[in-house]
Amino acid sequence: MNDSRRRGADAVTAAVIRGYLESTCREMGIALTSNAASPIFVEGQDFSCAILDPERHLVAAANFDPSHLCAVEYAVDCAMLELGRATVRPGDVVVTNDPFQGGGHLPDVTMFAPVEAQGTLLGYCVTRAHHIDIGGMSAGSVPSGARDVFGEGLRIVPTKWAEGGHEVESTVDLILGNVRMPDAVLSDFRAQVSSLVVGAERVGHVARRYGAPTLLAALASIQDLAEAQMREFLSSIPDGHYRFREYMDNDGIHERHYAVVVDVTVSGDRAEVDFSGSSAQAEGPINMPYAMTASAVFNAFLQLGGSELTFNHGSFRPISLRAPRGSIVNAQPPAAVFGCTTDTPLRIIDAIGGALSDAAPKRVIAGSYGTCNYLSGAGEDADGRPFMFQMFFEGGWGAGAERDGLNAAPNQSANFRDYPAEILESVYPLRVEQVSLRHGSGGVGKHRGGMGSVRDITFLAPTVLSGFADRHDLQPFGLAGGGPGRANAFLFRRAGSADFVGIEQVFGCHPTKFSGVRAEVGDTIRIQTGGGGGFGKADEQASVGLAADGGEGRVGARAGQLEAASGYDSGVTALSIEAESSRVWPAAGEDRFAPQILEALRSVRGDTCIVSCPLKANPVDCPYYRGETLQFWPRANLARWTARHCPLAERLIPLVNAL
Amino acid sequence: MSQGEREGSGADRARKGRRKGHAGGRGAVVLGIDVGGTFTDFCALGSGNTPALLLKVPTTGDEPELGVAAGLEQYLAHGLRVRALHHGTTIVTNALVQSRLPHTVLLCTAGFRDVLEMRRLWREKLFGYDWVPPDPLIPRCDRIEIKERVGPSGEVLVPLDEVEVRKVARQLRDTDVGAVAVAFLFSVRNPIHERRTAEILQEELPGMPVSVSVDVLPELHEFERTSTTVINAMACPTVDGYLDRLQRTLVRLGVGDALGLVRSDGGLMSSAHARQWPAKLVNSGPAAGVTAAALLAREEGWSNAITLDMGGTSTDVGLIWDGHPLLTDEANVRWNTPVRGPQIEVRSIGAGGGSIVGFDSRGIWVGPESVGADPGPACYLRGGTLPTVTDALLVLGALPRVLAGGQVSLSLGASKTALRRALPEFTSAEDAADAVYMVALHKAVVLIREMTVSRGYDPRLCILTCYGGLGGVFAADLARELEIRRVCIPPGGSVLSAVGAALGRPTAEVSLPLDGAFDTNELGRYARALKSVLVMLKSEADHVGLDPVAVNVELNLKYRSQEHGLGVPLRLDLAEDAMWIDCVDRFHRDHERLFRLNRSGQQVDLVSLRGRALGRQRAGAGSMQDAVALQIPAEPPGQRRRTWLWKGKRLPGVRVVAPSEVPGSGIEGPLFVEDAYTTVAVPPGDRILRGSSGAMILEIDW
Repeated sequence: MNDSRRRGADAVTAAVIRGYLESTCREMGIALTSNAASPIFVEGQDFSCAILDPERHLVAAANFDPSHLCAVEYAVDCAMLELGRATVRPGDVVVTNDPFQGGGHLPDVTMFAPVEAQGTLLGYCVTRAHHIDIGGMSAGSVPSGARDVFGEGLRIVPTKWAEGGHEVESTVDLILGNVRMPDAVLSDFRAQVSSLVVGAERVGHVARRYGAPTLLAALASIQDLAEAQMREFLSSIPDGHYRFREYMDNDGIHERHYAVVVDVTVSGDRAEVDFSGSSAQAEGPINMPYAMTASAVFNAFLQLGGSELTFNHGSFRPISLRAPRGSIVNAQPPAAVFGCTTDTPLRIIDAIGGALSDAAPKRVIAGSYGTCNYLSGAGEDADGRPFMFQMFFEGGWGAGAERDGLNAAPNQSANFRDYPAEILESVYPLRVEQVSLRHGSGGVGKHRGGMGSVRDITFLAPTVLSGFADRHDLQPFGLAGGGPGRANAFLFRRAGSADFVGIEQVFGCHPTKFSGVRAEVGDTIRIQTGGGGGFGKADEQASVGLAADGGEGRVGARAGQLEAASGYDSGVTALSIEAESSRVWPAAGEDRFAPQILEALRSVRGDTCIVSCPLKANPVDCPYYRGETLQFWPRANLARWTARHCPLAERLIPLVNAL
Repeated sequence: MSQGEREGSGADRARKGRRKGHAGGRGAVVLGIDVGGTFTDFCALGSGNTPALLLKVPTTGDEPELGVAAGLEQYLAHGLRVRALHHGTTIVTNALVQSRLPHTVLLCTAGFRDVLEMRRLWREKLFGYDWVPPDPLIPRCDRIEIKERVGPSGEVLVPLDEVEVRKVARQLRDTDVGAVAVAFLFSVRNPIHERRTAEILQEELPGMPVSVSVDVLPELHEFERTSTTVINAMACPTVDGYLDRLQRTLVRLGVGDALGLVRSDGGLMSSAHARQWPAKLVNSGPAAGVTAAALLAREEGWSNAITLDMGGTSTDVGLIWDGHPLLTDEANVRWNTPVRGPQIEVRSIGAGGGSIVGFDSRGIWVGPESVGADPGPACYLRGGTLPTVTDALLVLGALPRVLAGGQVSLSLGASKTALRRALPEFTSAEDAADAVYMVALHKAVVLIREMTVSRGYDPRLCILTCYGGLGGVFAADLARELEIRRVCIPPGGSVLSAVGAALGRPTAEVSLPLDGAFDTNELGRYARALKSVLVMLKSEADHVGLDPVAVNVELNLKYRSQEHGLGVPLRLDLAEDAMWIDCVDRFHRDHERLFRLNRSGQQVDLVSLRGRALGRQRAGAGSMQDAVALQIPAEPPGQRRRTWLWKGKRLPGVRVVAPSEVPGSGIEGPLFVEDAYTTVAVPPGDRILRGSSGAMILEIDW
């Protein structure tokens, strides 16, 4: 067969196998939702399912949570390095949620299982899902006010949940002993496992049908295709350095902004994102561990590249990042990290769009509402039965050069569904008074920013509330002359009172990051979510479309009819804030850890790594030879790994600890 | 067949029918009609073993009744008397897809008018700022809030503002508003406000179609219920107008009465019923096809069948298990725009004959974009230059050079040029065509596996029933991939939805919501609920003029956290107490089989009881045995021998025979069996023979 003909034949096999694998991921999701006990899985769909190749690279995924999907391979990778390939066998299931080992915030628990055929490792099936509770200081594990990861909940370092097809009771007991509502949580863990069982069966079928070598070759070429597409997209952006600064409002503890600084370098078909200059890690729970930062960067480029792109590890290859250790985008233990999936990644995604807005004006959108407006509540209903709920809220996306922003959509890091009022009221002591689009909340412009929404919920039983949100102060930026979107707000109305006021005025709590405030019967919370920024100058289009809108104000913003300022809009956006303001937390210091570690290794290794170490300097087994790992593994983890796996431990550990 | 149903097998009935002979007298037929996008198909079934008469005429655009009339006139010219006319139609789906709908207004609970627009929030695509959601069914200015509120226990929290309703109704007079939908929160728990609103609307706007959510879909989930109600309301004027014109036509031709419409669940409803519940027509055509496939598979002795309908723009798959088509509760007419209600599950992918194929940085791909009827595939020489699946099949020699009884000639050269241009990675048009064939084949395989293996149904226990223009071309290789031994090519495969319509049975159904956890102390309450379902069913059957010959009842159950319930047939033959416990046991087992987790220790919630009554079938499937076409020539349209490139092998001089030339004893491939509209490819090693029902059966060698 000549080359061209072989390429064609391979392409057919790859297309066929890719179809099977994507279908398998959808099926894994169905098993998960059908077996889960919590509404956050079933109605909220806050989970993901994926298949990785033997090198722990993402090959296929189904349409679930984007922030999980771009990050999940880091969790499997770290766990396999930690545990060692020889100890994880078919029939085993590994569980982990360690933020500093490829995880996200603690409620997001990753479980995975290896898949083999006749002794050949084919890859891994993996699911990550947001659990209803993972312990810690507040019900539902929404740890506003936490100052370290220990306050946030149970941190599960890579551990076997099951071995040889049987649950490891000590692991199960340890986890269930540290969470609220353990029955529901156990059910949800088992739902994740059922999804892995389905996945492994299906991947095994493909291996039997096509043979392991063909399957493995296809796994590689599926990634090559995605890589080629991403390179094609990156090539369409003019070479150059593009910079942008975005900010978190605050960390819930200190009233100061935290800067996310991106310096995007596009050269040919590659891009690098350098976060140098970003604020040092915060005391409150808004820090990003490295894997979540990487996930946000990949997410940003996939959003810009468009919905036709194939998505897997190949898409990530042409994109690299530098995130200084100890900064808000590569936080080190014991940093609190809750916001690493809900809020801070959205600043990264908006900042990368902002940076490329001149270079790729047709691809970007203006700033979006930028938060989950996460709200959890717990209490006992009139019959004394305990209840606990968690909700995330939609908002407006930024407008683009060719279209208005999306109205009331989940943010870029998520793809949840909402809870129907009829279900909420049937299950919880709540009454939904209003579900509306928030007209006038999208920024003005030639194209209007997407609208946020307004939801009013009245409590029918005393309920302890926790909230976690951001962008209630700084507003989503407009582009090309478009106006800013409206900020988000948590408003509250006491029973009998006529007016809504900021929740902080009622409880004296933090306005966006609070825990343990108590709503009484008849009180109402209003979640008023932000709009996206506008794109282009409003007057370019005058009032075109007003009539088509039936006078309902949807496009009214173009003609200047923006909602009256609510007092929750600072009037400041990323574009207008003063970077040197004393309100911005200073940058993290320079990060020399990785080069210093490599230097230390060189000074002691001799030929040990190549000659006598069983790992043979293989980057699939040894973190010292896996460049990216050294960028983020905490020093303590590296020391622990070295003590367990490295023949040079005695000489190397003192050097690691000295850094 | 579910245990609740009491009747003989299809084969029994067919045998009896044959013994009875021409009981209905010459010319008295049940006529099935399916109006599709390109063709209007007909199938006339007589009583007993009178051969079925098939016909295909072009669909007549915006006035489909003209095509129906044209076909009918041909039957009448043959001296046939039509005693019942069963009609499947895509009119509702087409109107929705093309957004050609009347101005419709929604009345909803104050504070909730944006629910219809916000949908359930999620995006169709994970990534990509270029994704644009479709417009809401009704713009905001036509979603009118009414002050009223009912709570979750049915308690009235805010009384209905009747003055406001009346004011709104009066404002709608003398406007172009053609329909009104009413969907209030928790109307399922207490419909008093919706009912009163409907009364006021009827007083103020006599003749205006009004759809009320508690009647359209008595289920919780306000978005899905509102969406279904709005679609029902919007479709009313369209269906009304069409049925008016159609019935006038029928009267003119002297075949006035006994018009039945095929519903999404495959049953028939009266035209009066269809005017009131047009949302039940959304899946009408495909449902009829699956119904026919189920009956014909049963004639061949199979109670499990996978159906595959490969047409011009899509491939539709259905599953028949234990003699019954699988039902689903939801279909989406566009992204996140649901129509809920029981309907035959038909899953679809955009890979049909007209699907565009190509090779770029995405790799090799097939569909979902389609060239449509105009300009059509490159080989049609109507200005299309993009290669399609049809072009690839032509290059492989899997299709004849003329289609549709000689009405369309195909250009091999144009196909080759288009393939070479779009897939330059391949050294020849033949290699490219082979690759396209494999990718299209496997898209169908994945779809079928999702429909079966993914849900715990073993495809190896099924017969594969293939129809539609291209189903037969892929049939044998599909079966081999799925490890299926037998393929059924049903008689009348090119007009199967019309066959299904003709074979349809009047159906009545009722549903009674049940709440709360399953509790063995409450068996008495369940028994009372069952009794009311049976009473309701009887009255519904009387209402639609149906004489039930079979009744089945399904209990819908779920684990507390699940969103969707699973329907489990109640075994009405068991003792009153045992039937409920048996049903819950089977629910646990079904769940574990489907989703790999034993949850039998967990709380089970009851969702609803659903009863269906089936009327008598008016025609027997047995008469399909010697089906003949009114107009279609029996001879293969093209050359009697051609070269076939099959899986990289060159097979010269492959014979082409007519379906009538296939003997009961069978012929071994390579071979094509062809008539004007369909091709069945029989690869080397496989055999094709004629089954007892008149179907052709492929025996697959693997």
